[in-house]
Amino acid sequence: MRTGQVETLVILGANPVYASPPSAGFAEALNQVPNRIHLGLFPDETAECCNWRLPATHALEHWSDARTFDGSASVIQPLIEPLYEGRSPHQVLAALSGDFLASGQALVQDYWRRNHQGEDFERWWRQGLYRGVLEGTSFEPETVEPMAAPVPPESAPNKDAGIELSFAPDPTIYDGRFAENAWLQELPKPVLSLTWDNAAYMSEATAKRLGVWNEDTVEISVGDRSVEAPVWVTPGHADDAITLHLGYGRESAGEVRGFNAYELLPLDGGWSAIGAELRKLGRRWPLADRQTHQQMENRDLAVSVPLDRYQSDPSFVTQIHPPPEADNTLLPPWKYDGYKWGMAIDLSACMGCGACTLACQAENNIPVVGKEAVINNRAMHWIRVDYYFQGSPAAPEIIPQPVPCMHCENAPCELVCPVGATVHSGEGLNQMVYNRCVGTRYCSNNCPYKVRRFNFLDFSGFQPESYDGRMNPDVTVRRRGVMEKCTYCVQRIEEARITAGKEDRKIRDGEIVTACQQVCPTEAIVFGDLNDPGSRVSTAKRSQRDYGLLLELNTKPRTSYAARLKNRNDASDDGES
Amino acid sequence: MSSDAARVLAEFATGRCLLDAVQRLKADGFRPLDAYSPTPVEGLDEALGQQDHTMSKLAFFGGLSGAVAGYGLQYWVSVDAYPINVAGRPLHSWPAFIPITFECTILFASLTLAVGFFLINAYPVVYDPVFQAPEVSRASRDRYCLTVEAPPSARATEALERLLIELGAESTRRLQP
Amino acid sequence: MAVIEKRDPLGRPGVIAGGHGAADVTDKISAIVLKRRTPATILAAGATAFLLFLGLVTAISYLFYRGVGIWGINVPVAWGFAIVNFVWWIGIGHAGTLISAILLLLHQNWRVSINRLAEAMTLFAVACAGMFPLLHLGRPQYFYWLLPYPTSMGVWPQFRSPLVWDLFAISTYGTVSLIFWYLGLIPDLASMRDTANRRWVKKAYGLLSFGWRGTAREWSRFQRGYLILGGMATPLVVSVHSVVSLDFTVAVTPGWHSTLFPPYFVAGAIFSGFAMVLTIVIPIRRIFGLQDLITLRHFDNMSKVMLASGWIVAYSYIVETFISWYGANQFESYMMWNRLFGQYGYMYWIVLFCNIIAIQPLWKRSLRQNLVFLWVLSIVVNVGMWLERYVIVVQSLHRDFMPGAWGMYSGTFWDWLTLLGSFGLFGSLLFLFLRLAPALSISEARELAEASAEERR
Repeated sequence: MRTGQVETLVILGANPVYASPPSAGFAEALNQVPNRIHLGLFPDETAECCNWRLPATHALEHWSDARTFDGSASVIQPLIEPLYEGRSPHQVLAALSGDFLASGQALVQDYWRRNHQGEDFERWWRQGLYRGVLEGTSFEPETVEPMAAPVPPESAPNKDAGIELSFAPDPTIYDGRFAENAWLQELPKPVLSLTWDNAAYMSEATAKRLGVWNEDTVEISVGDRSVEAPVWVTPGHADDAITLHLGYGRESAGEVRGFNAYELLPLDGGWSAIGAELRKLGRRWPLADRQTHQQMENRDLAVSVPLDRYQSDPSFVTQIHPPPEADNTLLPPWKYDGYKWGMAIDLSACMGCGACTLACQAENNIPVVGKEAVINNRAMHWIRVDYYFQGSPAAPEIIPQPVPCMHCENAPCELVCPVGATVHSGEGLNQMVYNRCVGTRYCSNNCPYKVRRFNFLDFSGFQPESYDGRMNPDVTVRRRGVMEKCTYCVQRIEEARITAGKEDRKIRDGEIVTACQQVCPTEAIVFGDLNDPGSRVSTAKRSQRDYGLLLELNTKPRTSYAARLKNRNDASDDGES
Repeated sequence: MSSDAARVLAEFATGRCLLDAVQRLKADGFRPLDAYSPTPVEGLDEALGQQDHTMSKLAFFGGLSGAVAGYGLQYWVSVDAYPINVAGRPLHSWPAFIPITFECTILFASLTLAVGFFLINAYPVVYDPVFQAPEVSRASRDRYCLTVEAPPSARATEALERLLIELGAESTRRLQP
Repeated sequence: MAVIEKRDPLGRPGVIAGGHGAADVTDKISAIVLKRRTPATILAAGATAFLLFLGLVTAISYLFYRGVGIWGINVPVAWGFAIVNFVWWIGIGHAGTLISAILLLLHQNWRVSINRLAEAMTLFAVACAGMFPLLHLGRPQYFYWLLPYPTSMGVWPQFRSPLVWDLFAISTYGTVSLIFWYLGLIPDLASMRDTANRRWVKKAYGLLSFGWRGTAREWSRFQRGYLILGGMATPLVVSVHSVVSLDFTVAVTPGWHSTLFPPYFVAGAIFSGFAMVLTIVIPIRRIFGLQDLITLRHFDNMSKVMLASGWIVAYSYIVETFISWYGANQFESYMMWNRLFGQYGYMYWIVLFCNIIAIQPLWKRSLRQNLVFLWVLSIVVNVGMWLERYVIVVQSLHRDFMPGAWGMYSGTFWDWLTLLGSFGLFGSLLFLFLRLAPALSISEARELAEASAEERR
């Protein structure tokens, strides 16, 4: 490009002007190209350097294809007509080869027609569309040998060599391509629980040695390049090293957030840099930390025990959380004769990715509140993931625990609502009647699990028209001054009820899948009818590992947890296995 | 109170003089009507036969109806009109109904008392013949006034006036109805 | 005016000094409204209060425009300044009822000189207090949904909620206080009517007094009614702050969930209320020259009440701390540790200083009658009692059961403006009261003066 040999450069979707080390000089090189064409969803940094910008279609707007993890091809079908008359990359490439009017569908279908070996393409194709995968396109499995665990070097790293920087894509906004996605920005980063920013992650020992602490602004420099970054002390981080997440500091993606770690990314393609220096600047850089306290304070909320304890005493959890006696109340119990909804969350399976939080946000029209509101503890997520550190700060065990509404049978929130805006359904749902809520917030104060969320300001109002399509029409949008919380996806329950009613049968187990359950990659969340002894949730709750949170309050939570078992490999040095 | 007859108004310096005068007048066959005083004079209402226990009755029955209404409303709403499972508690959560029952008792009793006080005193009184007498305006300061029904004859009225002066009245005045 | 300190057999200063007669007393008190020019200090204080009140109007306007999010509240600390202010103000109000009702039943005649002011203070404090639960609602426009009225939707309030109890308790308290205050005012308004010179002033007071003439029948009903009201206001005042405390105790939150709260709150209310009476009465007595009517005897007695109620509060602190240890409940004991040494710990130590240490000099009589000391102390106690409620509300909530949901809270500019504005509302109402109604009970002061005149004879 620099030598002028490239006359026309078409960039399909990528954003190399941002997502490359500035010292690599891509932007300057790009400017040498006479015809610069960018196809993208947003006018990003690269688009700003180009003389043609083409509006792209979103994956929900076009035809395409992709491979699943075993290599099976899956066809991506559009859900809606392109909103802004965009074109898919396939169409752009076809246009470049002269076919300006090609439909996306034809392009994808023609490719597979050409590559299909066998009879009756139409039938195969239609079946593929119906099933989601095209039959017979998976790869041959390969046999692999497990690698030996990497052995850490014997000698400690040389401290005089300065600090080692290690780079990684951001856990939520990746390399910056999702920087404009407010859902991802506000999703607490797994384990760190930070939102809206990246930071210089370092261990407590390193921070103390450098005389810095959380939210101190520091200048990190490698050679003649430097960035300003906030410090975030991270338990379990290696000493004398700093981790920087890429993807922040974008200048053409709305308000600039975080800092651009590409500035320090080495040119050699490696993901680390040695010899970094750090200087404290004496300014504060406020960070929005969703969970400000990550110690469990000996409360055994997220129970995690070594496997051998379970093996020697399978009912260990009843010692930690003794279930209250059934009759330790003066009051007559309420009966739930029909359906009795409940949820079980397996902490052994949960890996703390936060997908449940996001799925819930999308399903239930949960607003994004912004960095300042997150700092002020006003994030609206109905299911939050608490990350607890246990053990030494240098090498802690990390226990993630998703916390939705427990739908307590004796719900403390209901008792104190003066207008009856939160009451119990006959199936045991702790319901929120938004229309009736006057916003005393007493329910939140009296919720021992603190799962209630309040619309302190008009979080859902004044949204651009284009957001309308994002909203779930089955779920009410809550207005200012109203309390809200997990409903067990009551809209899905009702949908299943209507379907079952039409077919004159009971709702089948597994027919209702809550949003959090639907996306959980490890299937840690199960939901269903507790009155059906054969349901998956009943089976899960019969597990010896099953326990409820804060049972001593006799709230009778419908959501319960299965204690986490850890099978620690003591041969390995780096903590968790 | 009664304004249909002519009256004689006398002004005293102390409540004790007034009380003595009332007793003496009654013994002498006159009809003392009303006393006006800046402070309550103990025994005066009895002497004039104007003791009034209405307030106690009003408060009692007001309070009783408040208690019944308060508890009844809560019971009816929670059990009958809007029965709903709240926090797993029984519909008839009687311990939770006590505070409001108590408050309603006090509220009803006080309101009955206030309204009753207003009504049985026939408030607001915008005109009373005694307002003609400048002495009465001192009855809210330091003078004790008494009205006595004027006897039908002029002579008897004069005798009454003399008796009043004798009993310590500082002045007397005749009031037209 | 020469002040001749009259002392009773116990050597205490008299309730009313210097041989004043009924006429004297009437003239002196009514003159504050009718004859005397408003002192410059009072005018200045009134103007300041009104400015602060305008601040309140601004804060409320912005609140209605943007929502309660302009305050510092969040989840976990969903209640903040509004509830702290509410509890504080309602507590202030309680001293007024205590002085006028309980001391009436106990035949404590020293209440006479201060009961009117204290009752007015009650009313205005209840007005300030009552405003906060409404303002703090997320949707204040629907506050009336707490009232039991038939709706087309057939929904009703939820009577198990302490907030509904609160609504009933506060509105009953406000109503009864108003009736009690006004009933006591009627004979005095008649005195004002008869003392006033200007025709329209006479008319106005005449109307307000409903045409009271002081007949034996009126007095009979008045005295009986007043006594019954006093008898009802006494349990009422105890119930009101008990119900306020139930807002906390009914909740499961550690630091709230305690059977100790009702008596503890009632004592705290009396404590802070008497402090506020001192804060107000000391300057008013000086400015209006009421040294003869409000004597050192009053301050001595009020100090004793403060000392006694302060000790009940101190006892509550001790029991609360002891039980959180003795109860061996993990959450309770953490709460208490956090209260003492946590992020809000410094506040608790200030509370302990203001509400326990600072009042101990009141054991000494000379300090009980040292008005400068008392005035400063009353401010200290007011601050201490506000902080006590802040600690109870905020500190208990900010770290309850789930560490993953813990958080911090601090008031914003709007929180502070609303608090200051409530002082403005209180001050403005007090100013109007001083200008329009007799600040001391004329009829009861007359009774005292008559009684002492009788004695002299």
